[in-house]
Amino acid sequence: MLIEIVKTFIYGVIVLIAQIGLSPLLEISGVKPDLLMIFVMLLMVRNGAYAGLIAGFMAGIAQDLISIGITGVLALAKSTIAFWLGRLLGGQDTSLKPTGWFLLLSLASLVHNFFVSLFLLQGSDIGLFEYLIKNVIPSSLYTGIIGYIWILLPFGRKKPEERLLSRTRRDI
Amino acid sequence: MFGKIKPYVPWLATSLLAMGFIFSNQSPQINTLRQNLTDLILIGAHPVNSILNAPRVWNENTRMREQLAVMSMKIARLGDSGTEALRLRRMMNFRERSSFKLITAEAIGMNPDPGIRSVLINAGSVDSVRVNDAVIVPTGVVGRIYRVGRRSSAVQLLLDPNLGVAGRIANSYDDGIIHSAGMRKLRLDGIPTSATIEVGDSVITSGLGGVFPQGLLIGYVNKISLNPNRWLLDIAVEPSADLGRLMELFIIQKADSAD
Repeated sequence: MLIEIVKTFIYGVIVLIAQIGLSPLLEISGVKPDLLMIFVMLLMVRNGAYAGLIAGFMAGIAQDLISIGITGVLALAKSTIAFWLGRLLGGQDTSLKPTGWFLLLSLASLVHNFFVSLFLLQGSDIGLFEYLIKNVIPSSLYTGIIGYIWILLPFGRKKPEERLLSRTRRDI
Repeated sequence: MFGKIKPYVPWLATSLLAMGFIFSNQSPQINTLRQNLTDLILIGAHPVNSILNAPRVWNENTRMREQLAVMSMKIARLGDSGTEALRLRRMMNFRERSSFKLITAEAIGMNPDPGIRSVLINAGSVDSVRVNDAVIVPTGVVGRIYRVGRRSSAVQLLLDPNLGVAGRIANSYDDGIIHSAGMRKLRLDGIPTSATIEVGDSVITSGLGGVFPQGLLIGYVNKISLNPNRWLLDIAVEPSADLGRLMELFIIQKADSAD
């Protein structure tokens, strides 16, 4: 159990470094994916709502502290979305196929980015609608696409897809 | 782990904790934590960045060597004119420019939050970087220093929705405010319809905001349209600096902090 937690923490740090270091390469017309969101959602799907809650909070607070935004906003958004989506999925006896995973991740990312933009645009001249069209929706879809590609990759497929497809009766 | 408590209690606890962070956003303890964590994470991000940028650095190096050779020839040819230009420049008293000192820094990574437009650089308080110092590249303005750690800093880019820069049309001297327009584009607000502006005009810093010195290139006007309220122009500006591909940056140290 402890080893699993330490391993997950190390993976989280690697994803955070990748988010910082790889973003310039992954950015398309100013739109970047949220790799930590993918990481949190994978953990949620694998281990349930509480794992999503803790991972979401940790990942979010790390992003908050390194970014120039308001500390706590991303932590609140990520932990809340991961927890309630985990609860929602937990009650269903379904298996998530890659397409389902893409939709789930894109939707989670959309809600997350929308929530964050409410804080981000405080005092800004950019309208919420304009920001939604130009940033929130493209960024959410991009995160969904990267997450989708990840589980189709040989090293990404083994665990996540296995987890996604076999996750039916997990106790959350 | 949470078997005996109500399912939503842990969520409520983390939410309250997150809100605690939100309300103590500007506290010195949070700032110290932010600085230390950024310094720490950059130790890991720096090698990743260096490896990823190696091919680009190699190509750029080759191109710059070629440019250097061409420029050396030009300088040799223009030797006399250069001396004359130097003399004229002295006469015109460029005190404003010479009072700045540049600090070189390397962009290590982008902000981990997809919504915020900032980069992390490997220069901090030990290099005399200060909050609100202007950050530029040879092709134009990049942004301003938002937060300073010991060996790292966060730069708020021009593309960040919360940054406004006092801008000016170089030809007509019309002043406005530069804002992000999303998708790596900028817009110049506050220019009246009476202004004489053409597509391709340079937009420079006016120096009125107090953060950026006057005369730094921000970008070029690439679209002009009438604002729906009929007395202002909507001016789209293409940033002159490639804000998505930042490597080496220069921080302008103001005169009062240069010593």
